[in-house]
Amino acid sequence: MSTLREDAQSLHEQLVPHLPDDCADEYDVDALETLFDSYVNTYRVPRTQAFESVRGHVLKEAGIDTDAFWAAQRDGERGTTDDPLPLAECTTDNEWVTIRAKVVELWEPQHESIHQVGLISDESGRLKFTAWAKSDPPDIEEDTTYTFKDVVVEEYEGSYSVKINSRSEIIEHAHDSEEAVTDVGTMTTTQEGFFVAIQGQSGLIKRCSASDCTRVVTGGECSEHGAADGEFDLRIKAVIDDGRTAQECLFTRGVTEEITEIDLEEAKKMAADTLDFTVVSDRFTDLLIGRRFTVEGPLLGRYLLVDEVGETPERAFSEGYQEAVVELLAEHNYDGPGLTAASIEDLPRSYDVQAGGVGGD
Amino acid sequence: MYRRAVWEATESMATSDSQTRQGATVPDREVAKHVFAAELNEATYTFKTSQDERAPVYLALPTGERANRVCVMGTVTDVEDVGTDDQEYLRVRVVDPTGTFWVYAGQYQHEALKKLKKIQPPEFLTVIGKPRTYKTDDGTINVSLVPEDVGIVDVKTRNSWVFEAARRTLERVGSARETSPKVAALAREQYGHDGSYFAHVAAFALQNLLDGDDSAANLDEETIEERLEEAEAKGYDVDGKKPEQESK
Repeated sequence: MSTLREDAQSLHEQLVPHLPDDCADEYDVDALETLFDSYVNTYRVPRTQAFESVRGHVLKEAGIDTDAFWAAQRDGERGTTDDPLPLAECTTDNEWVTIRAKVVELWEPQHESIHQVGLISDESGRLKFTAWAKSDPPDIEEDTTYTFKDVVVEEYEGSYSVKINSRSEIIEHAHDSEEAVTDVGTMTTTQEGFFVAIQGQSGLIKRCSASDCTRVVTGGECSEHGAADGEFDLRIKAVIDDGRTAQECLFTRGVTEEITEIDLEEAKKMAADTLDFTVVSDRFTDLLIGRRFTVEGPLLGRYLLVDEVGETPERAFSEGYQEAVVELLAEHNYDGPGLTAASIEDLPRSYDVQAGGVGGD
Repeated sequence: MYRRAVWEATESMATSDSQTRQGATVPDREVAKHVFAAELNEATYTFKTSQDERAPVYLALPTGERANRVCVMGTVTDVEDVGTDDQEYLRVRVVDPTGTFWVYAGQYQHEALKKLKKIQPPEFLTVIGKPRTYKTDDGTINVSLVPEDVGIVDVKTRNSWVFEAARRTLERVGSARETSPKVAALAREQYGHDGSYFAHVAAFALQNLLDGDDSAANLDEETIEERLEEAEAKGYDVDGKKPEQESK
């Protein structure tokens, strides 16, 4: 076991960067050793508890900023101001990180304890951030890139966010600087395929209007706030499937209106005319099922949050099918018979892959 | 605040996802394969990958891949109630360039049933559903589809599917032996051939697509019906019996 002197030395090393100038001498190694001695030998503090007890005592007595002190004690902080950690990698709860990101959106804080809250984004992804009022953080602005030094990753029920604390350092980057994030969240996924299912709670929905709640109101009740009137919104939860991958996709109001050409007002009218919400999702299903689209957007959990959407055949077949067909057959080295057959029953029932033209090799 | 709603909504989804990853089971959704009627109707062998009663049932496609769900399109030529007096059971014929899909919808396919009842043939239809096999009295095995969802589509969408189904068929012929060797071996054993001639079927369907290309964009009902008659004359769609061959 270490001697009291050694403990005093290592504690001194930890404390030195944080000691206010005027009391640096008060807590030199000798003074700390005396303190240890008094704790252990006079006040019978168990040896194993001594280090933490003395440290706690000094932190308090010397008025050291504890947030900053503990931050500095954490080793393995990832990301530096020169080489910040991509947001997509901020997935360890309680990890201290340095990141560089653009403020995409500021939200209205729902409580006075929150100074600012919103979304930040870099090339790899986006995260919610919270700056607590008690840590007196500087104001940050939408659409500006900052380096956030020493922020803490928080995990809550599987989703991550970052917390700005009093130790955090926030460095603003000019819009035209090298550091400025230009492409936010380009870690997008593209999925092409057919609409094979429109899931429940698609179409015209109501969201709970209680502050800080966005749950879907079903049967006039919010699962959190009970009876609720709610606000109308449009969305589609769907499966787009190309025969290889079945991707669940979330279309928010904007893209929903774009692909269905039905806007919120019209949807409300449809529902009002029939006294039935489900006509909207039925109509969406009729419009979309079986159609082939390419969607693009970031992955959030199981869902692809659709930013961009386009119907696919238009591109490939705008000039007719001739070219595409010839290309496809060539791609598969097809030179077999059959293209002019009046009936497929006339086709040979077997075909030697190795010798013939249907090879896939 | 609207964007926030999106964020929060998806966050809670991410949450439920992480929970499933931790053990609760929401199995991955089975993909929907694109298969021509000619191939589907020959896919009479089914298998499971586990003993579990609820384990998914797969068809072994002759081209060597498995299919638990399919996405098909074609022309509805007939909707018939083959159920009892008090229980509706619809049999729907959907014709693609290569043959007929037999779609059956009963009380448990409520949504699909509702939509199928409204159809006035001919109309282009997409069917997303699960293939089922059943043995007829004379011992032959037929393949039918239980629809999960159906929808009327336009000719462009239908054509797009024909192209896609041809592409997937050619891909399976070319590479199923490598990409799904077990099913490919099983199919070869069960059907006695390697399914490679479905490349011809795909090519045929593509040719069909080209033949209809010029007028495809504005087919009126009359021409559709003419074509259907032609098709029926060629024997694609005669009560599910083996088609008569007219050109021999």
